[in-house]
Amino acid sequence: MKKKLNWNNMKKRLIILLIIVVPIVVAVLIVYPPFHRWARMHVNIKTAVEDHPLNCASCHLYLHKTKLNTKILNTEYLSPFNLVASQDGQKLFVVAEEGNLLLVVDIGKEKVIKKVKVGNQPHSVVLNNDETLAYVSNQWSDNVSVIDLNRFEVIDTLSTGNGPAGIALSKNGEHLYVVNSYGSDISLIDLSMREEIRRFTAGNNPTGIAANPAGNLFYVTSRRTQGLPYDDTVSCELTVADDRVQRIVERKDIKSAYMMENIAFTPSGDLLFMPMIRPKNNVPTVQVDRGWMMTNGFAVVEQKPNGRTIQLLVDEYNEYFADPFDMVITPDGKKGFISHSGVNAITVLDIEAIRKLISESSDELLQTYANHLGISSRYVLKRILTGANPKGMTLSADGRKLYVAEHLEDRIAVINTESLETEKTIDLGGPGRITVARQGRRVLNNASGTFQNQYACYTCHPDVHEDGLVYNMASIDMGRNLANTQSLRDIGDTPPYKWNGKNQTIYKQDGMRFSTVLTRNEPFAYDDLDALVAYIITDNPNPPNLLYNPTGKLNAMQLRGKALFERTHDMYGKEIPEINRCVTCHPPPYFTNLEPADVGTLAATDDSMLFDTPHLSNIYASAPYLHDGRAKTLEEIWTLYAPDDKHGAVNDFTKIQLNELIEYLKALSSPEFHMKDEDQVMHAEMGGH
Amino acid sequence: MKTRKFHLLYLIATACLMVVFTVSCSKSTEGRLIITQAPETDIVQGKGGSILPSYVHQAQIVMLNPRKPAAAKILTKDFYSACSPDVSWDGRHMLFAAQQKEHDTWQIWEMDLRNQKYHRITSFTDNCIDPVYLPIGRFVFSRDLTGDTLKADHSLFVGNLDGTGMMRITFQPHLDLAATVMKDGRILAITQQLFPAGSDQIYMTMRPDGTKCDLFYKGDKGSSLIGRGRDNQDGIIFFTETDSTGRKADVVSISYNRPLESRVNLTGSISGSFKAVFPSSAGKLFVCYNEAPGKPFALYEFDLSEKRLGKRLYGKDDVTVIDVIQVSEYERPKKLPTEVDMGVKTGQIMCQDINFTGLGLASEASLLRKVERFEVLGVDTSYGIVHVEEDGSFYLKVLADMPFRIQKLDENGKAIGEPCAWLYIRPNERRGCIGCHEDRNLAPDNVVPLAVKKDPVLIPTHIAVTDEKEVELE
Repeated sequence: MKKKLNWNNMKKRLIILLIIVVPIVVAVLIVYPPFHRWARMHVNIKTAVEDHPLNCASCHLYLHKTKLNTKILNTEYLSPFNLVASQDGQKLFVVAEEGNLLLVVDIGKEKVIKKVKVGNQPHSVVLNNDETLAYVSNQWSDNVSVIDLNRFEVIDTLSTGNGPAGIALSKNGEHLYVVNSYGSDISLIDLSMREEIRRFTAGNNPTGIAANPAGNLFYVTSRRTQGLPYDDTVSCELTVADDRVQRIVERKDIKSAYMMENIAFTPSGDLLFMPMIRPKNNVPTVQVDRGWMMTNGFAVVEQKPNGRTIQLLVDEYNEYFADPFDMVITPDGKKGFISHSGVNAITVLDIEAIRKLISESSDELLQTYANHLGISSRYVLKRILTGANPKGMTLSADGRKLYVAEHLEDRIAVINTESLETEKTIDLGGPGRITVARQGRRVLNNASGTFQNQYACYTCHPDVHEDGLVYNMASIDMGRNLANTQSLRDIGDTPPYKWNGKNQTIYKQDGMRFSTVLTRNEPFAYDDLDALVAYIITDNPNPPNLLYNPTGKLNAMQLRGKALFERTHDMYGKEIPEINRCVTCHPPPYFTNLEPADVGTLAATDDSMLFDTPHLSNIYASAPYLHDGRAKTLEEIWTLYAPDDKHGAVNDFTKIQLNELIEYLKALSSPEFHMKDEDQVMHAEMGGH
Repeated sequence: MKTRKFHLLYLIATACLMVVFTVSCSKSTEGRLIITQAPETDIVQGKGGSILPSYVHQAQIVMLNPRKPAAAKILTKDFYSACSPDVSWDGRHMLFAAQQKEHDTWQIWEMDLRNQKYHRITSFTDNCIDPVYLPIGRFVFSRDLTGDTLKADHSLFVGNLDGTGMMRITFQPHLDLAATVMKDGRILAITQQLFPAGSDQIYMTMRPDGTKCDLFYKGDKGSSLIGRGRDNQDGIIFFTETDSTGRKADVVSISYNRPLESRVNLTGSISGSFKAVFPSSAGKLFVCYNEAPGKPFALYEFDLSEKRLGKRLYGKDDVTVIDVIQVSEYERPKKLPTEVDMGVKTGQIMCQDINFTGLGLASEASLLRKVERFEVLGVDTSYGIVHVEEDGSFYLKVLADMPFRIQKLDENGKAIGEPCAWLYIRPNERRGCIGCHEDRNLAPDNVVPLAVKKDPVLIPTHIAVTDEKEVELE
């Protein structure tokens, strides 16, 4: 016992000694001229600037994904995302996205009174008509938690499609419509049978859903644009399901729109509103000023035969209101509120002024207004500032209070809809401190790093992924070198970055060059850049690949595809040159050899270059493909754009074999998921060979 | 023991005194006003009859405490004439333009407001006026280029505060005067076209490298901008502007967010005239005002909410107060990155549709004619005729820092309407426009212009190649 105590004491002393000695040694080394010079050079190379502070912790502590680091440095945030209020105005039901909780908030007491554990990455919540049950969609669990609001516990879990997000109940309370954001479809769940009875195809990456005031039609928005080639007009689908016949009755292409996150109806039901972004990805990115990269606004759909779809901006000539997310309209139909997660603000709209503007304007004029940065003065009443990253909103039943989920602030803002002032905020009890990674998440989501707040990193990388759009960066000549946006998820271990692999580190990627060609604003302060890099590297996983690889084990078809992926001989028994084997350039665990390659995709409009080999984690969710997004699907990479076997030897494949290969590719996920398969762990350890 | 105590007390007292001294030194000028006063309102007429608010004879820069204005202190008594003061963001230094002796050229100087030591920054053979601090060690000023080969009057230059790295950033045949640097990091400049005909003064904005030069504010026809625009923390920009008669100048505010549609005349109901304005940290304005023509301007407070003149702070019968600024710590404007690369000899400009006119001008029949070609006009020459694409787009690679205008042509080669305003492209700059005579409020449509699917047309068209650095792919 004594011996053990001594050993424990020694361990403690050793740790204390290390805590004292290591910083001293580091400090001494830093001031020691030769080491200082070496450190300076090392940091210069990593950051591509010459004045980044020599702060060893920035990289050697905050960028490591080890469990110990995560435990010490990070903390569990709640991240409220969506919310609803009870009819009596006493309670709020708040979905905590990172906490995996449904929080029950007593509005009067201004505190959380119950926490109910739900599935992973919950997205939305809806209450049944008598408010005895809450349904919470769990985006990373592919199910809906049914919560008894008397006992505050989950009493059932309903399976859905992939990535359930927006959720709505039929008027009679018998059916649940769940929008599957990753699967791009809608699950219709019969609540008496407690199972999905139908699934409808929706737009690309749908999220928002709302019923019309009559309750017979359900409208679903989509965020990503339809898979159209560069140079075509982008559009997002608005999908309409009729609850009476339980089928899709209309698909409306909303032209020039992107990121239609949510929906709101006027109480009379004459107008439908959708916040949205109007991107300028087809225009060479020569400037930010005057709305040349992104404009932010909303679409209005007239609910009458031959009703028009109108788009109006909320931006102003010299100030932009990035990333419109949610919208609600007061029960009297007079005011509308749009949350802007990119600028920490709520825009207040005069609905009657919008109605008047629409009714008195010709179609031609309205088309011009869609790009007009001055027209918002006709209908914007006020901007109300909020905490970090406002997302979902809800109104009290009488419409007097607006509740806003301040996503990265772990609190709810309460706004008086008459005075348009914030009355108070309700702290949800998240951790008080802001970690480096959390600060990085705020930076990524905030548009203040861009000239006149026009867009945030999030705008082109929603959910830290990618927007599915192709841009003309115009860095040499306009119209050349198109670039398909790449995902930011799980990229820490897959340098270099950009399609031409020019940036060896994320520091370089997001530093000075980023500010010169993209944000055209003062570069991020080094503290913010450190935080942004820490967030991207350490706190930014891919969602589990529940659609194609839910268990971490491959099915028979995928295994056959895996064999084709790793094959060394073609169908005629001839050895495939190593350079032409899939696995040579795409070895596990990230399925990239981190090297540049020529896969025969250089276009006439590209300057001569090799392309960085992209990782393949969750590749199924990253359409379109290739550096310029020319391949709408994985199939097209080989059926249309690899005639000479330069992008892997595949031309001896049968159609079925190509399908098998593609099924395997779709099953690839982040190493922490795919490494579950023991065989694959070994494979990864052996370097993929 | 007593000696030890004495030493201790002595040390504490010394330390306290040092702290007090340091604090008082650093805060001594906080809240003070710096005014420019002159014995007469003599002004120099520039080219084309332009009005230069600088070049005032025997002007003095004076610091005063608004609570005790009588105890004013002349800061520039070593100079024959000094004016156009601008205070650094930390409130510690002041830039100004001055002549040491009567026949000297005007040059830019900097003064440490804590000890009034000054040093000269520019040493040009021609006049340099209107200095304004840019973020982090740089400044912008206006230099007289009347002797230059281009038909320019005053152009803007930027440089380092140590006098190095001077670079011209505006190139049109204009009179350009630096006004202020906005929070977004862009320069707000008063500019007036001089060639081929004079026009009204307008506010232009540009990045500190001269790129993205664009209209910011334009008053009513015949109006004239006087003094510098000054912005407050709420995004309101104040300046003084004469009406078309030129007899009365008023204090005007515009919103940074909507400069073209938000003009408010704050002093229209007040008789008399205003010369300069500065928003105080307390939410009021300081204004230079005179009751009637012929009387000297004096310094007043102005109540923004009531829109009425407040206390007269400073004024004398024999001097007129022509400018005012308050010493305070201000939020530093953003330091914008530059795309200019002096190794590159050209810049690029793309227009989406030369036939697009936007909302305001759609009814003008002459502008609705579909144009198939246009001429690029230089100051004294033509740089060539360019055909537009079917969608009305064009894409030019233009020799950098060279003023040019676009003149639409009809099928017979005759000019349609007036050419557009003067443009210039900085080396490696890329610019876009939606159309000619476009509505400033319009963002582009999300379409690929046909013109950028081809190589750009080199301007002047008689040049086949440019010997320039190859731009690296980002």
